[in-house]
Amino acid sequence: MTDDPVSFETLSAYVDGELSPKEAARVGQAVAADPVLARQVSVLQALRAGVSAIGGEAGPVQVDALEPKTRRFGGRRLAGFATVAMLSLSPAAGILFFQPAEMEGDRVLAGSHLASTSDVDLRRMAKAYESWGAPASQGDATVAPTDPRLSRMIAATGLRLVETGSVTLQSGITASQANYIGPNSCRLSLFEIPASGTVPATTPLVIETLNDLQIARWSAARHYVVISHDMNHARFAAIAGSLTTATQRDGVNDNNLIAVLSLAREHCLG
Amino acid sequence: MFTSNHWAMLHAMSRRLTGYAFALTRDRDKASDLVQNAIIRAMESRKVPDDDVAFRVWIARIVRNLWIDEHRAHLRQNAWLSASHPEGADFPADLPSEDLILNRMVIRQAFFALGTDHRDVLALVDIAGFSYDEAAKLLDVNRGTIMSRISRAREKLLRQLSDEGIVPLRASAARRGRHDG
Repeated sequence: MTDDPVSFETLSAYVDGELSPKEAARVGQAVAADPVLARQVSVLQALRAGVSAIGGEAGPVQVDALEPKTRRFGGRRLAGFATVAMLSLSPAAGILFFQPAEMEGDRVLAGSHLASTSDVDLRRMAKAYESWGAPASQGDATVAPTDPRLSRMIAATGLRLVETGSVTLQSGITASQANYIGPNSCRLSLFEIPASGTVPATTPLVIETLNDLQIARWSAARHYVVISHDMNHARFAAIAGSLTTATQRDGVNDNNLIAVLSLAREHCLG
Repeated sequence: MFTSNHWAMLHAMSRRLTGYAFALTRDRDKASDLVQNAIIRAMESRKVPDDDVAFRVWIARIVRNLWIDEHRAHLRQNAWLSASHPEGADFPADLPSEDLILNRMVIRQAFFALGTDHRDVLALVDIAGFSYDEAAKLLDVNRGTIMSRISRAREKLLRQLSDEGIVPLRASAARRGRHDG
């Protein structure tokens, strides 16, 4: 039964589990009876495992950060992707809706509804987010502290305000920065950018990812940017959505927003 | 149009897909860009396969085609496997040891020294996790061709590990004699 020679090709398919049951049984018997064949199988299995491990070096593309939209960041593709989602909150029902925006291609960043915060400014704020905690990151004391109302909402998610600072933007305007940290080391920064000249129009919430950073921005009398790292996406969206609602809608009941936010306490992903 | 089911399938295969792209490009950033560009291309498609296997094959084919497009000129100069290696594969006379094959750096060095054709088919099966049938569908060849190409690629890889000094020769003459005899 095992007299027929086992070719290299057959052995190769054998270690892949690609032979028919009958053929696999024949090869299995031959391997069991022949130490040389057994070693060849062992070598092929090691080879297969070694090649397979190479793929792990690249790491997966973060698919969950992808939304049906692409844009460019400073003329360069933002890690190939950026995500943009429109989030609306129904305070009365306490229900969160997460709705992907329509595909608009690379026109998005230049779109007037998103153009309120430039790429350069976003980069500065991202850098400020990543460096906060160091003494040098403490900002100008003359900058107005963050809106206590917004701080209360963020606190409802388990994050506490630990420091405030500032970032000078490209236009010379100074943005205030409020830094929050959670019990599981989740970090979040809220940037508030005062209007220069004309009061900016209300713009919808946009949530994007820049590498591992999640960025939310919107406008309501002033510009707001929220940045976090490795935070659960639903939690980040809930925080950004509530803050947007709080700043854009008059007469909204903060307790409803806080009730929603109190549910957003998932651990950070990192 | 992409549905939540498509995103779920993409989630499930993202690591293997990026690994496949890495095997093609030999560069993490390029691999990431390649996969991302492929997903963009996929998202623009009006007809997206719903079946899991069909979807995986479809998206991997997009990755591969994009990469080929980017390297078309280079690929013209390097004939594909079927043309350059018509002979059958065989075990190299001097086998590297299993322990050394398991050394990640050694196998990595040898793998990336392979030609693109060998890397491609090995990566589809060993890294991307496609079955022979799926790889055959992806490459538009029959199953037997995949089986043959895989074995030739492995033979080439083993030969590089043994012959090119990446791995010290360990196989004993006595063992070879028994096998050959």
